Amino acid sequence: MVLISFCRWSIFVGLFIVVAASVAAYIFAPKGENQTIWRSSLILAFAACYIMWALTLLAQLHPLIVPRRTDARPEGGFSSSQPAAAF
Amino acid sequence: MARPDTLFRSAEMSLVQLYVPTEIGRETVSALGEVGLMQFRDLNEETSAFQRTFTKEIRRLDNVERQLRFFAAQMEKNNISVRPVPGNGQLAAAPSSAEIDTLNQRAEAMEARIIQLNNSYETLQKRWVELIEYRWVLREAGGFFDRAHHQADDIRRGSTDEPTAPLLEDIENLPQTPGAGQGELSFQTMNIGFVSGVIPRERIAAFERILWRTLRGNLYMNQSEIEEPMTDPATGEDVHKNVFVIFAHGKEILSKIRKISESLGADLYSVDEDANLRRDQLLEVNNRISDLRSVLDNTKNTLDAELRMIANDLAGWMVVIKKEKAVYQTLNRFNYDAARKYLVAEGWLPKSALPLIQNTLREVTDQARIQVPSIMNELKTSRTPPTYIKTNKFTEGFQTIINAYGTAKYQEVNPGLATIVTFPFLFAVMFGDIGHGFLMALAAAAMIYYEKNLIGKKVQELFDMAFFGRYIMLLMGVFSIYTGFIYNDIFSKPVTLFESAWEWPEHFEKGQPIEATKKDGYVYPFGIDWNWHPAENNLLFTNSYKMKLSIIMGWAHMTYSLCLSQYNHRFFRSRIDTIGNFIPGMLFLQSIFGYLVMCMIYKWTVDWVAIGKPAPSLLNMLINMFLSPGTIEDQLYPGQKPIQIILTLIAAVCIPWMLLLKPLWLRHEHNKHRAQGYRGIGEVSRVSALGDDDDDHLNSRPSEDSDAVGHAFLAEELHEEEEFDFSEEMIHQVIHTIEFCLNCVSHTASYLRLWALSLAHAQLSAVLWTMTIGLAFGPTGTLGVIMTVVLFAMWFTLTIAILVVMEGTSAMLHSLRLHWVEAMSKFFIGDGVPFEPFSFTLLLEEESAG
Repeated sequence: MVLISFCRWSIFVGLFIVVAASVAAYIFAPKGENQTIWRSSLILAFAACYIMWALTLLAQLHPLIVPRRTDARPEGGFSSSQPAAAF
Repeated sequence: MARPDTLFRSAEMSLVQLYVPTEIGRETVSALGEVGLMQFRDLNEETSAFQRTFTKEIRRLDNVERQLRFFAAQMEKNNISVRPVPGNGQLAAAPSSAEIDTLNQRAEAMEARIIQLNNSYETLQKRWVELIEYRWVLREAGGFFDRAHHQADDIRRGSTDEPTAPLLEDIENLPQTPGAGQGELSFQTMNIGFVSGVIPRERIAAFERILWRTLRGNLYMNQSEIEEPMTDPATGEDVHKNVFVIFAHGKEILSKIRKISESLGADLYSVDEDANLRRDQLLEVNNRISDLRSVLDNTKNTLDAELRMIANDLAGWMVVIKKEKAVYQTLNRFNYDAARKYLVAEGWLPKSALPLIQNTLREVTDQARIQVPSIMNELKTSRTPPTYIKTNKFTEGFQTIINAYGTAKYQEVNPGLATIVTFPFLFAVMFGDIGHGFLMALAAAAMIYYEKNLIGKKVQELFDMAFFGRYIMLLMGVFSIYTGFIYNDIFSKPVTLFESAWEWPEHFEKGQPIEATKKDGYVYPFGIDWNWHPAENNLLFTNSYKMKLSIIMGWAHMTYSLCLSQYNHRFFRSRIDTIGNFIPGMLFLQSIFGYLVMCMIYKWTVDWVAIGKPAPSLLNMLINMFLSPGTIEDQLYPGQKPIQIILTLIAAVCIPWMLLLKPLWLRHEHNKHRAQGYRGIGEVSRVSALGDDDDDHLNSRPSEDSDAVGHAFLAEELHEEEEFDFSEEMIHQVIHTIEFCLNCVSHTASYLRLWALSLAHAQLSAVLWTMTIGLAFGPTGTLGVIMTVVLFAMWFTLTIAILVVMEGTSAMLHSLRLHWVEAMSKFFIGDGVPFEPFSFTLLLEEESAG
């Protein structure tokens, strides 16, 4: 369960990865007249994707409500519209 | 050249003056047109178009252009296609003036020849049609005459004896008596004349009616339809015609008939009543027709050959003439120096292009082997240069989004650079679905893959638009795939990439409501947990999540845009704008909405269930913060009260700060300057007794005749300082402050469209699934197969049409609005003038587009 131990700090680990990727994008952006476009677009894209991911993770950190359903069938798992729950 | 030109700011421009020897003026401008990086100023603005130097040349080229268009029209008429120029006119650089002259002469000669050929062809064609019509008349007339002979008696009697008696009795009712004695009599002896001819079929009814009325029925008319249509040589249209023969009694009546027929557009042909003579006539006509046919064919072949020869070169000539015309139009903007040895031009060009232009000038001079070189020198000017943002095929679409709103001020931060990511990303927040994003990215990728074949082709308006924005679409698709993973939606179904954080109870009754429990210390690592998907309270969860997400996204986007305004202030060295606008604005935004965002994130990090406290409502908190500062319903964190009071005070202080600091400081500066004795040029000092003299001296321009004429226009360059008006400045700032503060609130609310549209998109795709393909999963057997096929087709079509195209368009428009209004209002000035270089490439592109 690497993921579980990873979870507590995952926001910061993610931030670190994104910052590292941004630095890499800044350094390794192809030279030439499009360098600014490469740098700005890559870093902005990383930042936007990070925000989106981090917020989604945070929102599920301590959810105030839990999933509820009535269409479940006792044996044989769940109804067709639902992926197998048993892991 | 301190900085290379980037998309971040428009290119640095310089105003240059060119001295080009008159002999190579045309060649130089032509070479500069090929480079296409210089915008020439009009130095003869006060001169009307007819008084300019090269009006004669332009007239001549106009004439050649007209001739070329005439050739094109002739080719279209004769179904000869023009061979297109390879590469849209990137051919042969500037042609020499000798070439143009030859072209001019050739066009002249060819026009005359084609007109002559055309005329003779038309004349021949007319003769041909006439002969054909004559032949028809001859053929049909025989039958009429035979029938008329039987009626001859009736015609005579009817017209002489009783006016009331019916002129004719029905032909069919009469017994046919061929070869009967009376029939053999010639019409001449019976004093019956006839008129024969051909008339367009649609006129026949009117023709009959008019004849009947004017002659009161004293005629006997026979007609028959010509099966094959006749071609009108003048218009080339097919006309159906009828042959008619009218028998009547008396000369006046016959001449009346002739006049009526001619006035109605009938062609009259004389036919002999004798059958033998008619046969001879027919034979002769047939001979003449076959003769004429061969002449006609020859003429047509010659004409076609001539046109085909032109067709090979026509497109190329068109390009040459257009370029040449543009060159002279540009030359008309130039001035002469005093000795009329040099042409003087002035224009803008990007600083980075200076060496290139210099090289071009040198090359032209070298090629012409002229001893006097062209001279270029940079001018210092206080004019605002035009805004030139260099784009490539990738950035072009994004820059067009910005330019559609306004042209950036010279060298201000160009929103286009950030738009490359933020536009497709905000779109994707509303459009998040792996499947839909994949379809969109696939379509865009296909257009990019085939772009070489598709470029410059007009297919259909909607497709052309999509093709123009193919790179935008690609990024929109790619980001939609990403947000689709975050929302965990693929065609409204979840993806089970990772282990869920929720566990369902093992034992329960069917139909009994069950609740999942969260695994301890585990969070679903990427996107929304797939166990939310089938849950009944799914919407409750995603609703709250997406609302907060959109507020935070909006806050981030606005803060980013506001920071860009600081780049502008720093670049334009406007410290007062930093202190008086940026800092209070930023503090205001952050103390309200920055704080809200912080609270949202903090609230997420606290396990409210575990600590057994009620989760505070952030919306109420924000409202209370301003309506009743100091009251806190449910505490979010310790020490909340003083922090909120301080933040409210900061926000409150920011408003007068923003309102007053800048105008007051500007007034202070202005007064300081005045105290030091400076004064604006337009201002007149009324204190001085010699005020009038002073005024004259200030307003008189540098004498024009004392200097070379070429420098005269430099007088315009006099620095025009704006007069300072405190009340104007104050009003401007009041508007800005009110707008900014209100916009902080309304714009944040406006970003909620991200929430609304993404929820709507997810719900719509879920509904579409259950109402189409979802139904197919019940039945089995043949029915199941048929249903699956039909419903899948339906589902897929509707997915493309409604979810990808329609919803995509709507999300795109909303993203567009968020950029134009919510983001760009924070920093974009947009009062620039676009750079319009003199470029053959642009010129020809415009021609083909228009």
